[in-house]
Parts: sequence; C-alpha cells; structure tokens
Amino acid sequence: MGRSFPITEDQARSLYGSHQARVFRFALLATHQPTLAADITQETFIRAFRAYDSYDSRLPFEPWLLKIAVNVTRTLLAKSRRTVPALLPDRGGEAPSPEAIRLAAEESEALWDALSHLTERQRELVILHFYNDLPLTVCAQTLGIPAGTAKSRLAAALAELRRLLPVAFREGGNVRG
Amino acid sequence: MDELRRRLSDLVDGAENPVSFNDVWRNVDMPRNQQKAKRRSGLWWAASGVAAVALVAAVFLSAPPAGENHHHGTNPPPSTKGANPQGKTGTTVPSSEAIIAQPSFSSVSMTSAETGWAEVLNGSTLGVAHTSDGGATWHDVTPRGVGNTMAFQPTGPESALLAWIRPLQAATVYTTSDGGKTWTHGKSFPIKYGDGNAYLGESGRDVWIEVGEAGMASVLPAQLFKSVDAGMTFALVNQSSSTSAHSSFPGFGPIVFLNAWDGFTSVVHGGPDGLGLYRTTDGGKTWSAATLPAGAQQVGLPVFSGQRGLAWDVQAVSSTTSAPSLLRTTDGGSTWQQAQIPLGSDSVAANPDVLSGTAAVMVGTSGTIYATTDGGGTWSTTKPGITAQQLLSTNVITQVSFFTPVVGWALIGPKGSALEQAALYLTTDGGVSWRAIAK
Repeated sequence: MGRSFPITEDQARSLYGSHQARVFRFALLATHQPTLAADITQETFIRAFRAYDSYDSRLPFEPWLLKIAVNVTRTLLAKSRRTVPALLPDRGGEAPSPEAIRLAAEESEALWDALSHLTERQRELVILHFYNDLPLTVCAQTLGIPAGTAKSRLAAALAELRRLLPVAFREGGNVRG
Repeated sequence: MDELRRRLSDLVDGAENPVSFNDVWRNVDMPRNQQKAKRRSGLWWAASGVAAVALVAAVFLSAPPAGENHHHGTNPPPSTKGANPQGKTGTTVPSSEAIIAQPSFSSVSMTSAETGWAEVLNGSTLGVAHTSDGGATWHDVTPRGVGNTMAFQPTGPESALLAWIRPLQAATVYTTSDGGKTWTHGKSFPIKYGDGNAYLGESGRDVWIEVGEAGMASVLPAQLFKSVDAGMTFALVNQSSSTSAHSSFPGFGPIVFLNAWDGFTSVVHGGPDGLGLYRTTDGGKTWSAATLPAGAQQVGLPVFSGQRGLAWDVQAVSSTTSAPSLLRTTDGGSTWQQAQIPLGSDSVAANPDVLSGTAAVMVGTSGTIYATTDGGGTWSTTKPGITAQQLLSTNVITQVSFFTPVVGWALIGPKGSALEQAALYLTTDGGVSWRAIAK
C-alpha cells in the first residue's frame, strides 16, 4: 500500500493478533459495553500503529498500548454518556440457561455492579493491575499519575469492592479484605 | 492467580473482539476526512489524530521505566548535616512551604481545630501539605528532593513521619516536629519490594516501617524494619513472602504500636491464621492473631489512648447483611468487646474515623453523622440540614477526618468522579452543615 508508517502490515498484524483480545477485554471491563469496547479497541490500535515510531522497543509493548487504550476509553466513554448510560449491561440478546449458570451469573452481576460503583479512575487502575497484571508502578506510569496516588487510589478501590462484595471477598480465604 | 484476578478474567474470558485487523489497518493511513464514514461505529470524534497520539506517546516515554522513580537513586537529596531542632543526629532538609493554590487532595488528617495534614497532588507531583488555619491555606511541606513514592503518617498537629521509597532499592524515613518546615532523616537502607507501598508506625523514639507490595495474594510480601533512634537507623525485624507464608509475620498491612513492644497490624489480604487483627508483644519479631469476639470479621487498625482502644469491624461495617460494629478494648488489646452502631437502614459512606481510644465517627450515605465518645456505649445521631442534603444529593463523601465528634473535615466530590476532584469541606456542627474551605 506504500505506507510511510514506521510499522509494516505484517508487524501490525502480529501485534494486533497478540494484543487485541487484552485491549478489548480491558475496554469491556472498563465500560461493560461490547460495542463501545470494540470501538475503543479499533481506535487504540489505529493510534498505536500511527505512533509506532514513538514506541521504545526496549520497553514492554502492552503498557504503552494500554496507555493509549486508557486515553481512548476516557474520551469515548465521555462521548458515549451523551447517549448511552455508562456501564449499562449490553448482553447482545444471549439467553443462557438460568439454573445451570445461576450462581456464576449472580457472581458476575455482582462484580459488574461493584465495578460500576467505582469511579472511572479507580476502575481503570483495578483492571490494569488485576486483569492486565501490570505492576502498580507501571499502572501509575500508564495512567500518568504518581505511584503514591496509584497506591491510595487502588486502596480506595479495593475498600469499595470489599464493601460492595463482602460475601465474594469472604469466600476463598485469600481474597477477603 | 488470586481471586479478584480470577473473577475479572471470568467476566470477560470468551468475550471476542469483533474488530478485524483489516478494520483497523485500513484506517491507519486514511485521510482524516474519510475516517469517520469508514469506521465501524458512529462514536468517533474529531479532535484527536496523530498529534494527540504523539503527545500521549511522548508523555509515556518521558516517564521513567517500570520500577524506577522520578527521583531515582539510593541516596537522599543533598542536605545539611548537623544539629536539628529535635536534637537528633541526622540530616535536616527543608520544605518549600510554598502555598498550594488549588490543592488536589488524596487524603486529609485533621489534627486540631486549626491544624492538619494532607497528601496532595500538586501539579503532577504527590506531596505532603500542612495547614495551620483550619484548612483555608495549605503549604507544600514535602521534604525537598523527595520523590513521588512515599508513605506518610501524621503523628500530631506538628509532627509526622514520611518514608521515601525507591522500589527494589532503598527507603529513607523522615521525621518532622515543626509542621513540615524541616525534616530529619537518617541512613537509607535497602529494601527488596517493588511496589513502593509502605506503612509507618511510631511510639516515642521507636519507629517502624513496613515495606511491601499491594495485591490480593494470600500473603502479601513485606519487610518490617524498626528504629530505636527516632528513625535514624533501621534494622530488619521480620519479613514474609507471597510464596512462603512466614508463621511469625502475617503479611502486609497497616501497623500501630502502643509502646516499644506492643503493636497490631490489620491484615486485609490474608494471613497464616486468616484475615484480621494480629498482635505482637515483642516489637514485631513475632505475631499472633488477636483474640476477638465471636462474629468479628475483618478488623481495621485500632487507635489507642493508653490502654483503651477502638477498631472498626470493617467487613461488618461494609456489609449490607451484617450489623456494623465497633470493637473496643480497655486492656491494651488483650481482650475486645463488640459495640453495635444504630445505623438503621443507613449505610456507610466512607471509612469510619477513629479519633481516640474512646471516640469514633461514622458518616452514613444519608449524611447522618454517628458519633460516640465512650467507646461505643452510647451514640449521638446528627442528621444533615437542607443544604447538606442538597450537597450530598449530587456528591459523595470519600473520606472524613474529625478532630472532635462535631468538628471535622470531609472530602466531597461529584458522584463518579476521580478522588482528586474532591474538595475539602468543614463541619463545626457535627455534620448538620458543610462548608467548602479549600479549592
């Protein structure tokens, strides 16, 4: 295609294959809206590929990509609130067997509800740290905040999750609290 | 993988991204005036583009690499050796004392009707602030040269502890007794954990610092150090790791000490004997689960006045199915009793504030203030006035810090907003009314 971009199509395809699911699921956790999550994923990779020459290949790719995803998520989520309430479930018409997955569904609903009660900034941090497995210092850099702020924000988020999910955090022994 | 990780993964595992690589690639080099129509959704915006991406990337790439700090290094900043106002044999560094025009609060601690401490985001830097006029003006009292990654523990109206953490490298503990105008620090010492998280405790000239990592592992790795010379030198007292639970140390959590030997830690992420309150009687060398009343769940860090102490049963407070309770002791924590709180149908708005070994305040989501001054024996209930009700109809209280049951601060911000967007409010009538006093 004669692009002048700093990444070839093959390189881009490889990176997309490796990271698209993680970005999409980050966005899905952050928004609880599959359509919006798909838009975020698309825009994140468009931005990333365009700016690929500013990526330092000595550093891990995913934190750099997720920083873009965070910014895209914030912007699109803000835009979407004008028409779609944030974090309303969008289940796509699925109709799973109620009895077969009742407990799992209740657990999932409770966690979705709990995530929706976090502030947007808290939710980003929880997802980056506990879903994307970024160390807290990397989360801080990704979110552009001091490590101390990330620490206090995460503590507040976990306290809120514990408050909202007392039963869930009691089960399993190692999560309560 | 711990439970929260598992549950988050379960929520989205199997969720498939419908966007194909070709959907992305065809838009990468497309002229901007054609993109909007080509993309698969209508939720796009005009004000972004390559310049924004370059800015995002530049900001990210200008940040230090993982595990490092803006003030990277193992040594504290240059400072003045010699005597200091406290007569300690350490090194003294000043703070700028500059007035912070619009402080963005991370946490506040009211230490008298006129004084208080706060952790603030000043520009892009986390720092410590102090007020002497009830919160109207705040001075940046961060020790000069100290980086973002720090732990902070107020210990009085003019006194505080601060630890500067260089993850995986070293820690330095600073103390002040003049409201942060000057800080004294001793030797840096090596640490082996990398999240930059730490808790501080002190009793007289004994100072403890616990360095560890956040997370939800069964036992959070941590190292406990103790100083017997007011923070000038530290020695390792105990440690735990996530892979080998140390039977004598329950893991990472806030610490408090009554004296050189007796202390507590509130373990919120697991421990060898489960979650809850652990006690030491030898300065931190050995720990055991505190003896709590039946039904006590996850107990927060106690506050003591002599042998009297209070601690919230955090799990019960936060539970919608359990009656909130306050634990009290009159024998230094050897035995604890439960006190119920007349919460009714109300729920807890923010973490309760324990003012002393006998006084505590809790704010309900209704704005009602529940306060006790006799260790939970009796409670006063103060309902919000009309203006406070209006304020809380669109805002939430994220943190409270009271000096007395009627005089206190609250960080209040718009619902759903970031913590840093909260403003500082003052009540002098027990929560009937709140007045914005900073920002």
